[in-house]
Amino acid sequence: MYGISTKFIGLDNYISIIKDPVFYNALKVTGYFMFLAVTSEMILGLFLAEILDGITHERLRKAAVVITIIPMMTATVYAALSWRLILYPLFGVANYLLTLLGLPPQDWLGDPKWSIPVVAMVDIWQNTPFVILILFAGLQALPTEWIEAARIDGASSWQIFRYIKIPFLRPLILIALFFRVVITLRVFESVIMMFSETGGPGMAAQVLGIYLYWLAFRVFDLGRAAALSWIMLLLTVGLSFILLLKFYKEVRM
Amino acid sequence: MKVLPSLIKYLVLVLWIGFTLFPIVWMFLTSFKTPLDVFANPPVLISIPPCIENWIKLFSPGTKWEGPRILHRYLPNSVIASTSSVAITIPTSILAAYAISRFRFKGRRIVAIMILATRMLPPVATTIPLYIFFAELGLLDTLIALILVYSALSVPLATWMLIAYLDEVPREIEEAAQIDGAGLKDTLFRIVIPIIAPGIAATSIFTFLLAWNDFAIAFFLTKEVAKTLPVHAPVFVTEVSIEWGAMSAFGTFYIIPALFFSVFFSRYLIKGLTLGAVKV
Repeated sequence: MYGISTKFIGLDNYISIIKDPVFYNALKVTGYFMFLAVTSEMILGLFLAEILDGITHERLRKAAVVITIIPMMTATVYAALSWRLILYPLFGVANYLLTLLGLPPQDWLGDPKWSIPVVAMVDIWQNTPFVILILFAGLQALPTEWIEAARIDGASSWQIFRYIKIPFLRPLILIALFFRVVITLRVFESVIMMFSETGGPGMAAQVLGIYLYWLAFRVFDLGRAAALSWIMLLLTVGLSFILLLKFYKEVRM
Repeated sequence: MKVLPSLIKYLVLVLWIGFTLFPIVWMFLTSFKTPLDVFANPPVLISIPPCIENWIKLFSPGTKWEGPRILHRYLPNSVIASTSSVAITIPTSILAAYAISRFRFKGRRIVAIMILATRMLPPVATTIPLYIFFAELGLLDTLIALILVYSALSVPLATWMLIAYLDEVPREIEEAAQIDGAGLKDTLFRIVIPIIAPGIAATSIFTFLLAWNDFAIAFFLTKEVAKTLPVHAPVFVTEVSIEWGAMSAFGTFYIIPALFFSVFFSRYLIKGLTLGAVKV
């Protein structure tokens, strides 16, 4: 590159990444983040969609939907900044609320054990709305006769939710899951905004995106960074493939 | 027996709305606090009288965030990059979506799947090749580079959304127009586009916000000349000192378009979002 004589080195860049313990840390941290964020978003999203669908007051429901869409329209940079303001150890509101409840204040941004939960929190705030809105649209499309028929047969609300609504929503749940998995894999800017470029205390929030940035613009090793890009791409493709395969199987049934 | 579950339902809803609005409201209120009130313990909700000093300081010279540049460089950059990417993306995507939705040609499904696949690319993973590419073209730190990348990223998203809207338009309407002698161009511009106008509006907003909200790409590809608002945000949160008042003013200033669109266009946005996502 840039006029310097280049040499073909085969898979050396890939091998050096696979041998790098920092890579495994990044993989582990990203996996932990994805697990925390995606499971919370799916569970919260499902229940909140059901709650929204059950609100009979038309205007209240509409207002709640409008408010719900706001976080996902805002920038991740903004979301991270506003949570940083809330979680700030010395005068943050989060710690104030904790002390009101009689709990000890936490060093949210300095304690490695909170690093990933805090980043996941930003993602949950911002992206649960996506899951809610997709599943809410699905519930609105559910034929009301089905529910009425089940009611007449004596089904409880929980039984209707569990045995009619969830099976009906299954393809949509898979789609929402697919989008959330693919998008959480690229987590980057919220970490930068919460912890700057270092990846948090003791690399506790050094996700794949940050590791990539660090390789490319701190170590200036574009070869390894490009190799890591490919690894991230393959991860995305692999995960998408599994989820989409499952989706198309379901739909065909 | 029926009162309790619905009471819990409303309680959860209220908690959710509070959780959603709190960060936005808190940042807005903090931007109007005096420096003393920002650090108050227990926290105060608002300073009385509200203090606009943070907002003046945000745009004034001699600060570490170079106030005047926000208004004269970063804001115009953000606006130009976002609106240009809408101007390129929407016409391109309408034509692409119309072709995929209406014509039966060889490889149509593959084209549609390829379009979806580009949406799955992690932006961070594309930044290295893009960086090298634009370095060789001498286009690093230029708005042209940003506009090109944003358009390239938005076209798949917009095309996919518009296909979903187009699939909802009954073909008979177009057939009727064609029987009356309308050509392909007339059918598209005078019949189809007016019908899917709300869809085009929603897609334009998503395209605009994709560029407006982007951090990763602008962070890698720009330094100073083409820097956009979000890339300037880290300046406010360096380890040494954080000026929470000015930072809050900056954050609030930055999300005005997002707030505006989500409040006034929510109906179209929700429809676009669900249509675009559900039709895989």
